[in-house]
Amino acid sequence: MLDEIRGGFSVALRRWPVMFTLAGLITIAAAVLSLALVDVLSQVAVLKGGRQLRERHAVFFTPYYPPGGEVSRVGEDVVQDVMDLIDQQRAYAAIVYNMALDDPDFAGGYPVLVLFGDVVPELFPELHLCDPAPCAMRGARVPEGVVVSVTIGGEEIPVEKALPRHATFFDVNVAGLPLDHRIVVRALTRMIPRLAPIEREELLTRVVLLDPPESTVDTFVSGAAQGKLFLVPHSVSVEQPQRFREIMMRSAMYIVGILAFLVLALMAFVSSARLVIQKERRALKIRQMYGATPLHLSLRIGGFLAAVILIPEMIVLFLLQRFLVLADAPAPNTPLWVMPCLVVTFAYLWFSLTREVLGKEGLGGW
Amino acid sequence: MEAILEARHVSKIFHSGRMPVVALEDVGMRIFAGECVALMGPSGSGKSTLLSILGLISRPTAGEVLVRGKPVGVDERSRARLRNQFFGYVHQEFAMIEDESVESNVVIPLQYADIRLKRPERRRKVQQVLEQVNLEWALHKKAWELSGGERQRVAIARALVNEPMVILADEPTAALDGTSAQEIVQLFLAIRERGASVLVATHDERVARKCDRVLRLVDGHLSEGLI
Repeated sequence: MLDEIRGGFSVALRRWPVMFTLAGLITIAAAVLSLALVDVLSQVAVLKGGRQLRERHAVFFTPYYPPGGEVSRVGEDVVQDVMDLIDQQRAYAAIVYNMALDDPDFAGGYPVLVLFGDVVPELFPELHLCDPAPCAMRGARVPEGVVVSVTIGGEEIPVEKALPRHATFFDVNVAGLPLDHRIVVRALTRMIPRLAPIEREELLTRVVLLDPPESTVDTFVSGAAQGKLFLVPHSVSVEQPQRFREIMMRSAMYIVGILAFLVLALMAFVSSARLVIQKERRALKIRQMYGATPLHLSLRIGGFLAAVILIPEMIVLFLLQRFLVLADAPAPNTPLWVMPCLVVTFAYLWFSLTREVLGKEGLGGW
Repeated sequence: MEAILEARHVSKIFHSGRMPVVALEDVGMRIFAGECVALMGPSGSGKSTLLSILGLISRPTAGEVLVRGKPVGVDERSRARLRNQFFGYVHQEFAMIEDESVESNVVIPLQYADIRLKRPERRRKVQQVLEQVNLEWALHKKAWELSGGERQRVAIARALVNEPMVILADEPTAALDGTSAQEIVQLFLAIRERGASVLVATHDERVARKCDRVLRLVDGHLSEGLI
């Protein structure tokens, strides 16, 4: 049976210029389509995650760094105001990238997400975050027992349980932040003064104010600016829907274009596969004469089709999926979703071509 | 004496277009071990269809085929096994796989044999059979590099490699010049000498004359005849 599949491969290899081109086109189209889907799905995740924040008229900030700027030195009064707002559940803050940069062994080397604010579990109930703070959880793909605890601001916080699989944190700046390979810490505001300056700076840029009066936003922005941290406020409910509409429209057009390209490449392959099998009919008939069963012939045809339409694409899509997982991309499994489309085309061609070859019995016998 | 290959009341009707086409009607025939039988008849008389039914390539609409006195079953796997063990085929149209080597062409029957030989053993058998048809030098040549007569000899080598009981040949000399045709006929006679039977469909009376018997097929009806 393996001989038959190998024989099918060699049918494709004998026509390598055309088959290689077609396999390349299909592979590229499938890979680009899955990347486009990653993009769209992350936007959808943003839309879903942003709902609660839009309802609470959340305001978030993007930092502006003047050339040659150093780490900011925001005054303690501003930090205290932020801590008060967080404690009153009128704000939350996060550290995504800059936690313990000088300690590569921090949290067992896993990336962390540090969240401040008791309002967070309320805003993101789908994450099933631990409660009460301080507490920590591991991502679904972080092995149990590898990270027992993390120490923030001199306080040891035990890592209790695992997050749901594919849990994604809605970060207003980053969009979907996959948590499968992260350690998520719910920290207390009393730890903030003990954070390193660079950690504090990131925390302040990631403050999200909920239902804030204009004066609160102004006070925070001007206070931060005095400490050389320049923040631009954005309203989730005003800016995001517009941004999302644009992104979704662009993504949709992109996906339709790529999908059309993939369909065209598949159609080109379907017609050349038919031609190839027609040319191979003589070889298949000879094999049938000498004892090849329908199963043998079917495997040979399947081997040919798999060599062009299935195996190169599956390998590339699988590698792409592994890369997206390693890169912590949102919706890293989209390459796997493109696979069924290729499998269906393969199955259709396999079935129809096998039936065509086995079913032909015309005048003149043989 | 028991026939090694027999057709009983075989009919074949093709349904192409509106009108059914009767290719064979109530054909009965027997082939005995070690004989050479010529099947003659005009184009479209059903010679190829009869050969394909006798060779278990296609199935009759009615009637049955018996191999060594036993009816052939309907199961495709057992038919395939019989095709592999019992028959060798030489066909004008399906002579060779053009873009494969002579070795790859000749080895095909061994690939589907019940007893799976190892690669060196397969090669040895292929070389042996190519020697029989004087083509040992062509082992690694591509089929398209050979002349018409050489290709037909390769097809005969392939038909012989599994040491079959019956060789079915459909117009094996039709596309060949006189010398090549003569060589092919000599090969068939040599096969018969070794105890295998040969059923050859042909228009060529020179081929038919070398055979032990001649069967004539006209409009799907068979009759025993003389040259």
